[in-house]
Amino acid sequence: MDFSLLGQLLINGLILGAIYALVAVGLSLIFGVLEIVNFAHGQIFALGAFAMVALSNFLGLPYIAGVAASGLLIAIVGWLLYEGLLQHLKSGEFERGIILTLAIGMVVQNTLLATVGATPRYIDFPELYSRFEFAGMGIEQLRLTAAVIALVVLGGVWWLLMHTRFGMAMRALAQNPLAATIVGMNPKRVAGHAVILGMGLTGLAGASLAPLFTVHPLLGVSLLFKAFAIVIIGGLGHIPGAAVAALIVGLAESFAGGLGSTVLQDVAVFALMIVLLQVKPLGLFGRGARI
Amino acid sequence: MTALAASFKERAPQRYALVALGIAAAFAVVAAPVLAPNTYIIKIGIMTLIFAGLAQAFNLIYGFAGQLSFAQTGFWGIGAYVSAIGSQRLGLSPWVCLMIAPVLCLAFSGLVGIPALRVSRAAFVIVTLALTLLLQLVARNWTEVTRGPMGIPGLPPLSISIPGVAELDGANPFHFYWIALLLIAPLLMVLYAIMATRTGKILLAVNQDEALARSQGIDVVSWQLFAFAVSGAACGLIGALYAFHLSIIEPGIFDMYYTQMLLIIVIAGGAGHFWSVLGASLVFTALPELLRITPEWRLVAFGVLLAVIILAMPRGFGGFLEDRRLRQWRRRM
Amino acid sequence: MRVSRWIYSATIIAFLSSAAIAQDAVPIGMSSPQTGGAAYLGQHQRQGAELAVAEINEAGGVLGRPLELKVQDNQCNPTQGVASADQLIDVGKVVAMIGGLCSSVTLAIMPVIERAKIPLIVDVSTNPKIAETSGAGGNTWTFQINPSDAGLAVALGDYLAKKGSYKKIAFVGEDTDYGRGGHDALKAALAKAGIEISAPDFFTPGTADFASVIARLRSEKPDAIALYAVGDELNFLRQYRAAGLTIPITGRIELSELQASLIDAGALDGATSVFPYHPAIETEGNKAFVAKFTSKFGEAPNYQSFEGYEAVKVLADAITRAGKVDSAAIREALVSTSYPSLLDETIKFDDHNQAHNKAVILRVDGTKVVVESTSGT
Repeated sequence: MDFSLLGQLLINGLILGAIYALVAVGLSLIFGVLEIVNFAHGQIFALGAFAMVALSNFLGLPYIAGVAASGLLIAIVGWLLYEGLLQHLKSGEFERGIILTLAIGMVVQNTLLATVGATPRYIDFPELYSRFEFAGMGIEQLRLTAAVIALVVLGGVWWLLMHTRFGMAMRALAQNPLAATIVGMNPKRVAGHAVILGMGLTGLAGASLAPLFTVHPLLGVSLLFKAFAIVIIGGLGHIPGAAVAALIVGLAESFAGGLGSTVLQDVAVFALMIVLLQVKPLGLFGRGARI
Repeated sequence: MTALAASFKERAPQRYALVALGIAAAFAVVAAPVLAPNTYIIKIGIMTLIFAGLAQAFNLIYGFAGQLSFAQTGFWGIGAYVSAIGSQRLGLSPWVCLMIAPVLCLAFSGLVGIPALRVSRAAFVIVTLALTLLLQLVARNWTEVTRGPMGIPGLPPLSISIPGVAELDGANPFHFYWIALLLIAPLLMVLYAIMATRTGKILLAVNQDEALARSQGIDVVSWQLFAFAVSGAACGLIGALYAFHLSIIEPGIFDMYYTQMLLIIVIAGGAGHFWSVLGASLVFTALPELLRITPEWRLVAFGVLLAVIILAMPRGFGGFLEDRRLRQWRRRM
Repeated sequence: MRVSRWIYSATIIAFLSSAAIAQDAVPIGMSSPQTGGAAYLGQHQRQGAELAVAEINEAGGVLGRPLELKVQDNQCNPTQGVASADQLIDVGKVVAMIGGLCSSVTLAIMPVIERAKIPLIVDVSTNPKIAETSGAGGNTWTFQINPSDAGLAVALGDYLAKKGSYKKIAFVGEDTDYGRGGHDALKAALAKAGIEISAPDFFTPGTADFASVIARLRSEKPDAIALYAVGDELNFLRQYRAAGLTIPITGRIELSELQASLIDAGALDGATSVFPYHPAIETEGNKAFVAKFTSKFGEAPNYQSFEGYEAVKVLADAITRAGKVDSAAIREALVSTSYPSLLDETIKFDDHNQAHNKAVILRVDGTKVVVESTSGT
């Protein structure tokens, strides 16, 4: 067995998992607080990647500044979407939430297709081509930076949820909406915060991955399902669960692709989800979820 | 009572107009290949028929049984692949494929429906979506059978040849329209029969208040399973038909695009209403073609419309008509 | 009053004569990706064809009538390809067609044009199945003017065998008729030369992340990587470069300005590729073509532009020899084509309607693409 290959796949998987975690935590947050499965999540990811292309190719922003600015920009998009559309949904209207977010996704994706086109774009940062090498393994500076950003942001989100009023309100609303309202929380306000944060995280993930791949409007389509799978594996609405499941999926993909073949990558995610739901129907950390 | 009778009498001319309109519409639908000036128009007609059938199948499971299913695209894809693999790779007659597809989809949707309908409404959405994506994955990667992303091209035409009675060449779109009509029209009648009679009312009742329906002794899951399986079989049949229209099938058949089309048609038309959904199939399939809107901007417009309708008029055009009728009726009483 | 009547009749005459020209034009179709991952290639194919149409029309058209090129987008997707062919035949009323660039699209279009009895000139797609099923293979309406993967693989196999430094080659290709056909042909050709080719890795077109394949390649340490992709090669090669791999690339990728950012950085030094064309080919005809194309479009032509150009020329030649604008007569005339290609080879169709134009081996020398050799196919 080639240990440097295994090591390399481990590194790749962990990095991929960290970025998936951003996407999945965003999805989980929106689901937990609003009970909306955000079907526009993949398109929001692509929007983040395009924001990055625009900010760095046209405004010349460096990597970290571009990622931060894109994340912020998409958070604003999230705020607009909440104020304009999502806040009108009442609780228990699960199907309407799906259809509404699906419609948002349709508009975002096809506006991108009609305006910037389907031809792939790319960003060339010099950091992409500088590497750290050790023991036959290697990692691009950019990939490492992306992973570090993901971990720092995830840590920040964790702190926000556990130690601030802002975050605690979100958790309270997710756990017991009735009690949260009784103690005087404004559910609309808290839900708005969850959408802003959830979409911002996803936009950030799209932006941080943009320079590694070529960017096109359909970039988020395959990601959406991966994010669903992660959230289901972790237990719906369970935020640390989503982060752990993201790492597992990232690793599974990396090893399936590296030891098997590229086509096995997608199969691995599916197989993982199906097997897990047989053993633990509510996901790894599911606590009798509401769905 | 007399007021009601009077109101009927009063509305008689309106009724005649409606009947006349119906006859004219039916005539136009049957005579479309004669009236259509070119192949482009008749192909829009074929797509309208296909989406009309598909939308009613989706209406049955979503509009009546209240289950938002993403699996219908999956069943229609299975139907299409049955046609492609059967006729092109196994050398079966296209008509045999057309018979296998709905039977297979009936069995398959029944099999999937039993576990899927036992979970909550929300989990049902995710399970059905996962099913369609899984099917697409299989179509893309089981290259030995499906040829993967290369697709299966060169399907034989679906023709009818009964010497002396009918000679319809499936490769000719004008003829294919009639073949499609011959399959879609009975299918719509069956679906209408289910929706307009007691079955439809039971499904609506279950949809509105599941607990109440259960307390009335209605076996909720069985009725939902019935709707899911019938809808699945219908989608399979239409998918099989569509494959012969395209003459090629590739994994794109499982695309979310088709689900989006079904959603806009059924929701704008009014979930749980037959006629307004039928009208919406025509509007949303033919109008954008005739207005020559590019596919991207069309989907942008549909997305905006879908969002507006779901927020402002969630019961669609059919719901609006029903409300108006009720209001008028109340005033008369 | 008089003036207005004069204007009126002049307008009518102008209208009638413009209508006459429009009616007079000979419509030929092109199904080509104008959007999607292969749009760049499709647009260049279109430009090549437009240049040829402009030249022909300046010289008086065919049979005294101008040519009119109608282009339909196929997005490199087989279903869209069939729809585009239907549109060209039903609405465009084209007498012949060129297309569909991507192999899977071409194979999907072939039954459509056969049923409609419209000749199809295949100019860019290389899957061997196209020629196998054409002419004596059954579909007498399809004609291929570019060499197929089989011919190109033999040329590459010969070159690599002569080069002698590669013993084990890894194969990475897109999961389409291009990648799969390319793999089979290359495997057969390399087996003769005693070169081993690894289990192929086919990826779905549009794949974003190649990290796993690249990790595997790094560990397998093949002597070369044979890459077969149309549209995804830039994404793969950028990640290849980022991963610091130095295993030479070979196979069938276009070493054109698409890959310029990588070639200029020296990241592809030593890469080889077999291709049917390169603008640096030194024939009189090609030099003139490159000059004309560059002056018209402001950039050098690529493989797609060259084939789009020659496809129109071959078609115009057949229409002229047919003597009438009739699809069946054009097909008849195409069978006996003998047209001088810009690459100093004569385009003649064999019994599978396959012409045997030259294959070019390209090599990246530092930051420059050079024509290593040309050979028959």
